[in-house]
This record gives sequence, structure tokens and C-alpha cells, in this order.
Amino acid sequence: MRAESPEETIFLSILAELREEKWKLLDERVFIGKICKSLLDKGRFCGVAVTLFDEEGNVRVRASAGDIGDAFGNNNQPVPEGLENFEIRDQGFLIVKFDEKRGMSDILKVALRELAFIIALILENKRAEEQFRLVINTHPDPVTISRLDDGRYVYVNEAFSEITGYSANEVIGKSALDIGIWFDRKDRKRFTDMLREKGRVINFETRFRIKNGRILTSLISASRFMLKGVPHMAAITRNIEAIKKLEREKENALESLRDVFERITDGVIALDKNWHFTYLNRRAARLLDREKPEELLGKNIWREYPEAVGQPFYKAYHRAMETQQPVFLQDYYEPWKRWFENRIYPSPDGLTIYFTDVTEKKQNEIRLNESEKRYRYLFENSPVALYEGDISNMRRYLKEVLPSKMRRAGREAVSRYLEEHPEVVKECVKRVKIVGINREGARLYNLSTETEFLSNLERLYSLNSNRLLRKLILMAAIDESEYEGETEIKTHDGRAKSIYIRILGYARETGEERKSYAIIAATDITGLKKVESLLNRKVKELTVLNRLAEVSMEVGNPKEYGDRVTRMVEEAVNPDVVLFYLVEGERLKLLSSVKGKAVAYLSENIDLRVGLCLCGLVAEYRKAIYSSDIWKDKRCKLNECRDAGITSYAGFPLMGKGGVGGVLAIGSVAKRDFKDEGEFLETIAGEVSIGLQNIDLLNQLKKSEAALEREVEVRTSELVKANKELEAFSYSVSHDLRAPLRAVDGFSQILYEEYSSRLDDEARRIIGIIRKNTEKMGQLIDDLLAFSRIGRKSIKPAEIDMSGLVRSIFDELTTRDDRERIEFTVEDLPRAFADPSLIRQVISNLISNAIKFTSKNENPSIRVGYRRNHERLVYFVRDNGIGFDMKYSNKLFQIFNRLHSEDEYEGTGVGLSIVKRIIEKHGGEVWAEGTKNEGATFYFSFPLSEEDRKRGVSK
Amino acid sequence: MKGEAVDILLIEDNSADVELTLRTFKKNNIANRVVVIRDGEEALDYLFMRNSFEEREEGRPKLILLDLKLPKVSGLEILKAIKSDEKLRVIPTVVLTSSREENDLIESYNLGANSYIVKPVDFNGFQEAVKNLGLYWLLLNRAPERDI
Repeated sequence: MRAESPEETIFLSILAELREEKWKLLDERVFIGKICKSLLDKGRFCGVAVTLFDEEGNVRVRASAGDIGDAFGNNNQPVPEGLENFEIRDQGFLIVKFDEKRGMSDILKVALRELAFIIALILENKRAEEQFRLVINTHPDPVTISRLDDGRYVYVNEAFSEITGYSANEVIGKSALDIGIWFDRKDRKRFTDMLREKGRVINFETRFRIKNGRILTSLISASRFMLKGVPHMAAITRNIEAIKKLEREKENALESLRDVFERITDGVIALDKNWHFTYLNRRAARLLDREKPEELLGKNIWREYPEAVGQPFYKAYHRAMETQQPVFLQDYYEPWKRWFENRIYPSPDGLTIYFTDVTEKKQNEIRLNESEKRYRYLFENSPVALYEGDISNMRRYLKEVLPSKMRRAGREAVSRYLEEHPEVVKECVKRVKIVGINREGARLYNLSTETEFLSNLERLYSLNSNRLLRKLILMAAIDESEYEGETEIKTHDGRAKSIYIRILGYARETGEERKSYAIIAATDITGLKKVESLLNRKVKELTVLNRLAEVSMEVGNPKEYGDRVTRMVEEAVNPDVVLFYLVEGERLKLLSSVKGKAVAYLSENIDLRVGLCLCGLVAEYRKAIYSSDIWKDKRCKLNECRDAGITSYAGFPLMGKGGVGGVLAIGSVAKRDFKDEGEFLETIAGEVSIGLQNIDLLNQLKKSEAALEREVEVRTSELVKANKELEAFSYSVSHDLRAPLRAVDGFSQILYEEYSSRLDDEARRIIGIIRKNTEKMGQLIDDLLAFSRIGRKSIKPAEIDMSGLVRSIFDELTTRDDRERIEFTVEDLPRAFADPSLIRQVISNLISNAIKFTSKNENPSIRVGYRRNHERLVYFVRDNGIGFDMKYSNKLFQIFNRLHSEDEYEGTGVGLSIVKRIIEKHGGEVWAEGTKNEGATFYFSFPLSEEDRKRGVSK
Repeated sequence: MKGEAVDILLIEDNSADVELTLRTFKKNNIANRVVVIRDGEEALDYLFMRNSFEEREEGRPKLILLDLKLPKVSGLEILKAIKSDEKLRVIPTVVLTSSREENDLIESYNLGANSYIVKPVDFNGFQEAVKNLGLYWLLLNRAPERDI
């Protein structure tokens, strides 16, 4: 062994340093910095540098120590004096500036070369390790490194966390067995045994339990390796469920492929030179309408299928045979009414023919062509404006330009973006290619031809004029396939139109390319819009008028009315000033006004003379006045309005019954033509006129109402007075008439009794007459009083047992003899609801009449009965007495009216009047039927109450 | 007649009725001493011993027959005065009237009338009524001697 040279010592010590673990942990830059420093210290060089290049040869990392300047060590540069380069393989150079006095020994050079080599290895290792980490970490399958013995995890990648749900922090340092990730511990035992034995296990199938409890069947592959002297395993796991699923999908795909293949697989036939079948496959047999290929083998095709002779296929077969050139033919085979495709390959021995039934495909094609034609026809002639655009380029452009986040954010975000980036919209226009527009479409844009539209696209789709375009861009940007709504366009000649559009996006495969199209259907709704806005205005106006009319009915006080009207006019027309004057004699008095903020000054108490200034003129001429600029209007003589800062003016007369009742005026500070709204304003004025008249009428009505009330009061008090007088009168009658009567009666009786001896018969007869008349007079007075009492008495109704009442009255009015003589019948009368004492009087009067008027009949008969209908209950008293002539029936119930002389039948002629009065007081009716000398029937009725009607009258 | 108690005070303004009444009493020997007053005001003066009757002998009539319709002060007012007075209210007071008005009847009883009799128009009936009330109130009915 030779002694180590100082150079070797340096080299070995540096090498030892490099081997130390810590170097590995260092960052590349720090690592080479350390090396430089270490070499400078130990090798006593003037300077050391390490330069590392990237793949393109630019300096990636550089570190230096000592005095070495900015030496590169580049291969292509000559090495400056005093410097030595050592290549770090594929990565850069180690550059050393040595002491010129000492020089550089060869041994040192070798050592440094070796050192550079080791540095290269370390760097490569470092990078490889980094790359490994990167690869492992981003590997889609879980990768783990764990200790073989206890399963403690050293490393897990991101996929592990993602799939199992366990984060790295949760598992590092813990055992797989403790975590319980192996579903079956025995499996792990078997797996690790195999690994110990073979060093490597591939695709071991087992089950893992992940954090959420699910079981995943997986394949695990692992290698055993030593880490710091301990056996570890690096494992990669693949979720087999996914694989199985993939396999299933693959299987399915193959299945359908096979199916397709079978379907399109040609029938194959081979014919010899004499047109005999030498081969045919099953499908060919089927296509040729035979069950098995054997049925045709050896047979002549044209003899089997004579109908084919002369058909295009027949000719094609012959041509192929003659020219020995392949023939491809797709044609209609008339006899079978089907399309076939034939590929005919000739050989000197005969023909091999592949053929396929393509009828369905062909029919689809034809149908497609037809529907395409139909579509074109419809497109062209549709009454709706239609155009179609290729928006593929625009879509692509938008995808590039718009951040995907924004597109997902939706309509509004994109809409805002387009608003802020007009240049994008401009670019979009360039990328829209209109592929067709129908006649109506051209008409919508006021273009005579389609080409005119296409060539004017840029202008029609200009930034300001086409809102439709924006909708289209928006739709394309957020991947919607439909849009529907209203928008506006500008026509070729610059007119605005309102349209209703429907945009339908669709994709079409053309060859390799997938293209996006949009069909735009537009209906011109400009007219409709106008009508709509007119309608809206009318509705608004009508609402205002309606409210005005309501207010006219509600308000009875002119000032309040004025205030509300001016406020309403302000709201409806939005002027700056509203003035409401009432005419009082020769002057206009301001009733109410509304003053907007813009108005400078407006007196609350302007009185105008009729005929002066504009409002005064309105009143004088009884005509509306419009003045769009009162400063130039010579009619405007007063400065009130001008002082207020008003420019435009309109005034309207309010017509009352006797002429102009007031003036309603509006004004605006900004110039405004109120004539545009003239019709509305004049209608308002008309309505307000009516309102004013209404208020007038209302006030008059109130006055006359008050007068009427007073009148009623006076009349009522008069009536009360009259009634009292009447009472007093009947009181007097009752009291005062009777006393003299009693005196007459009394004294004539005294005369008769006490002076009888001195009177002759004639005198006594006369006294008798006197007494008889006084008696009658007494009766008359009593009846009269009863009659007048009924008028004043209020009814106190109660339920009355009519049958019982009738019988008791009959008994009271008759003697035993009478009762034997008279045949008296009472029906089972229903109960009445009336005043019992009054009804007693009614029945008493009627029955006593009946008794009276049957008194001369030999077989008198009286019957009391009833009738009932829906409306009323009718009782009657019928007798077979002397009756009456019906022509006098109306006189029967008049007071003091009698149909018979007193000598025949007594009576005062008041009884029936009383009956009539009582029954009428009950709301009923009285009438009579009779025949002279045969009898009479007297009826009286009561109306049925609602309740009675429902349940029928109780008995 | 001095010292003799008054049997009946007849307050009635109709002289015919007065005569007929007195005749009936006489015929039936009902009253010895009847005082007739023909005016409402006078009747109050008599009862309360005022004015022209200030000097009259003291003592209460046994029965008062009262017409309702009287000059100056009505019968009802007189009735009210009698029945509100401590001393007078014990005197049986019979309303004898031509009025058949229910209001009068009710009002009279409300004020404390002891009877209400409507004078019949026919003389026989009248005689009968007057005879009966005289017999009842003067002979059958017992009135307290002292003030109550």
C-alpha cells in the first residue's frame, strides 16, 4: 500500500462527505454550493464553481466559492488560463481555479474527474428520486410503502387517500393491520409470505375495507426491498371493480360489434365459368331465398333465377367475366323490389361475388333526401322569417375567449362580460356564417334577395344594431340549445323592429367535422308592440279617468276635490305645475295647485281676470289652449307662469251647467308638447267638469234633503197634532153626545112614568118614539166610537182558536129558540194569528148580520168555513138570508151605507165598515158574494207568513 | 143641615145628569145629604176648604162621585189630588162618566179610583147603576172612621 498523497486525502475526505446521508436531503443548489465550499476549504484552490445546464444548454444552477469570476465551463468556450473544467456527466461542469505556483497534479485531476462523476451520479439520483416521487404521487392507483413485518406505513400517495378516504397523516406510522384496511388478515399473511419468498407478487386478488366501510375487491402488486436495513414492501393496488366494469363494457362493445358485423356481412358466392354455384355462405343462401347453401351448389344461377336475366346485375356479372375487371354495382333488383350492393371479383375460373341487401339503407337515404327537400321547401316558403347560421367557429372562439368558470356561471355573467367586451362581440360577428335565409327573412330585414342579406351581414349584425346577435352569442357561450323571447333588430334601411324569436341550436356531423348550427325563427311583432304600448297607455289613461270618476262621486267638498284632482293629474301626466281655478264672477280663483321641485316660484293665491293671460283666455274662449313656449306666446300677458319658470303650457276649460266653471292648467319647465297627450288631457278636463257639476248637484241635493227633512218634521208634528185633536174629538163625542141623549131618554121616561095619568095614548106613543130614537142614537155613537178606536189601536196578535171563538159568539148572540131554529155549521177552522179582541168583533158583526138577515127565512142556515191557498187563509160566513144584488157589493163596506130600510132590518151601517177596517189593518181583505133572496157569503182573509207557507197552516 | 155629615159629594157639571142622579138617590132613599159641585176648581176648593169653602164645616163626605170632564180642572186631576192627600184618600171615589175610553179607565184606576162606571145612555140602565153604587158604597162598604 502506498501512502495516500495529499490529493488523495482531500478526495477521500470529500467523497466521505458526499456519501453522508445529509447530502441527499439538500436542495440541488445548496448541494453544489456545499461542494464548492468544501473543495475550496480542503483542496486549497483559489476558486471553485459548479455550473449546471438545463436541456437547452442554458445555465440552470450555478454556485461558486473563492476567486473564480463568472467562468462557465461551457464546452464551446475556450477554458481560460489557470482554470480546469471537469464534466459533470450530461449536466454541467465542475470548474477549479488552482494556485499557479502549485499547479495541478495529474492525480488531483483524476480525483476531481472522479468527483465530478460522483456528483453527476448523485444529481441524477436526486432527480430520479424526485421524478419517482412525482410519478408515484400522481399515480392514479394507490401506492404504499410499508414495513413488511408489522405493516406500518411509511408512505402513501394521493390516490391512496382519495380512494380509501384515509389522509396520509392518518395512516403514516400506523399499521395496516391496526387500521383494518385488509378485510381478511389471512390474506395479508399469505401475501407477505409470498413476498418474502419471491421478492415480488403480481396481481394478488384481495379485498380492502376503506374508511366509509365499503369493501373494494382489488388487485395488489408489490416488491420487497430493504430500507435502512429493514424489509419493506412497495405496493400498488388497483380497484378491480373498475376493471371488471371496464371489461364488461368491452364485452358489450364487442358483442354489438359482432352484431353489426353479422348484419353487414356480405353474402358470398362463387360461380364457375359456366355460371354454376361452386360456393355460397349461409347468408348468401338466405339472401337468395334458400334454406341451406347445399340447395344451390352445382346449379346454374340463371336457371335458378331466370327473372334476373337481363337485369343490371346480370349485365354486370357478364361484364366482369368478360373484362376480368372487378365491378362494383349498387342497383335496384326489380324482381325482389330490393336494393343490392355487389362487389364482383373475376378470376379466370369464374367470379367471386360479395353482395349485400342495402334496401333499408337506401330507403333511409331516399327518405333523408326527401325530408331534406321538404325541409328546404318549408324553410323557403315559411310565413315565418327563418335563417340558419353556422356558428361552429363562433363557438370555438367563445370557448377560447371565455374563461370556463364564467361560462358555467351562466347567462348573466356572460352577458355582463359581452357588455364589457365589445371587441369579442365584433369578433363573433366575423365568425357567424349565415347558410340560408328564407323569403320572409329577407323581407323582415327589408332586403330584396338572400344574397343581399348575406353580403350585408356585418352591417346588420353591427354592434349597436343587433340585439338578436347578442342573444345568439349568449346562447352559444353557455351551451344552451334553445332561446325564446322578444328582442329588437334594425333592418337594412335602418328601421327598428320588434321581433319575437326562437333560436334552436343543433349539431350536424359533416364528414369528420362536427358543426354547430342555429336556426332562427323570427316573427315581426312591431305592430303588435305598438298596439300593446297603445293599449297600455289607454289602460293607464282609463284607470286615471276611472279614479277621477270615483273621486267625483266620493268627494262633496270642492277644495278636497281640487286637491285630489291636481294630485292625480300630476301623477298621470307628470307635469311640473298643475293649477285648478274656479270661476267666480269675472275672476278666476285658484282652488288647488301642485308645484313640482323644478318650479321656482308660484303664488298660492293668484287671482286672474277672465280674458287675461292664458288661463283667463281659456275661460273666455271656452277652448283648450296649448302653448309649447309661453315666452314666445304673445297671448301670455301675465308673468306668473313665467316667474314660475314654466316653458310649456296647456289649459282646459271646465264646463259647468251655466258656462265655464273653472280652468285646469298644467305646465312644464322643460319644453314639452302637451298636444301629444291632448286627447287624454281633454278627457280628464271633461271628467273634472262632470265632477264639479256632481259636487254642485250633491250640494244642492244636500240642501233639498235638509229642506225635505224639515218638511217631514213639520208634517209629522202636524199629523201628531191632528191625531191628538181627533182623539179629543172622539172623546168629546163619546162624552158629550151621550149626556144629552141620556137626558132626553131620562126625562122622557120620567114624563112617561110620573105623568102617565095626564098623557093620552098619542102622547105616550110619541114619548115611545123619542125613547126609541135616543136608543138608536146611543148605538150609533157607540159604533162610531168603536170604528174610530180601531183606526188608532195597535194590533196585538196572538193565536186564535177560530172554531171555538165562532161557536161562543154564536151562543152569545142567540137565544135557545134561535139556536133551535137556525142550522149553524162550523167547519174545522184553522187557527188564525191576529188580534183576538178585534177578530172577535169581526166575527160578531158578521154572525149577527147573518142572524139578522136570515130572520125572515123559515129554514135559516149559517155556515162558517175556510179556504186556503198558497198566498192566504180565507174564512167565510155564509147564510141563506135575503142576500143582495152584486151590483151594490162595493157599497156594502162603506160606512153608513145600508142596502135595506131600517124598518126591514135594524142597523147603523157601521158594522161592515168596522169589519173591513179591522181586516185591512191585519193586511187582509174583505169581500162579499150574494144573490138577492138567496143568501150572502162574507169573506175575510189573512195573508200567510213565509213560515206558514212552508209548513202549511196549523189547525 | 148643620152638623150632619155629608153622604155624597157629586162632582158633575151636566145639570141633567145631576138631576137624574139626585132623582135616583131620592127614589131609592140612598142619600140624605148630597153636595153637588159643578166645576173642577170649585171641587178642589171644597175638598181642601179653600176660597169660598174656607168657612165650610169640617168633615169628609162618605162617597165622592166624580165626572171626568169638568170645567177648569179635570176629573182625573181632582182624583189625583184626592188620592195624594193623607186625609182625603180614604174616601171612596167612584168615577161616573160617559167616557168609554180605555185610557181614562186605566188612568183612573192607576190614580186610585175605587170604581169606574160608564153612565148608560138609557135611563133605566142609568138608574140601576146609580142605585147599585149608592147601596154598595154607602150601606155595604165600610170605610175607616179615623184618618189612616
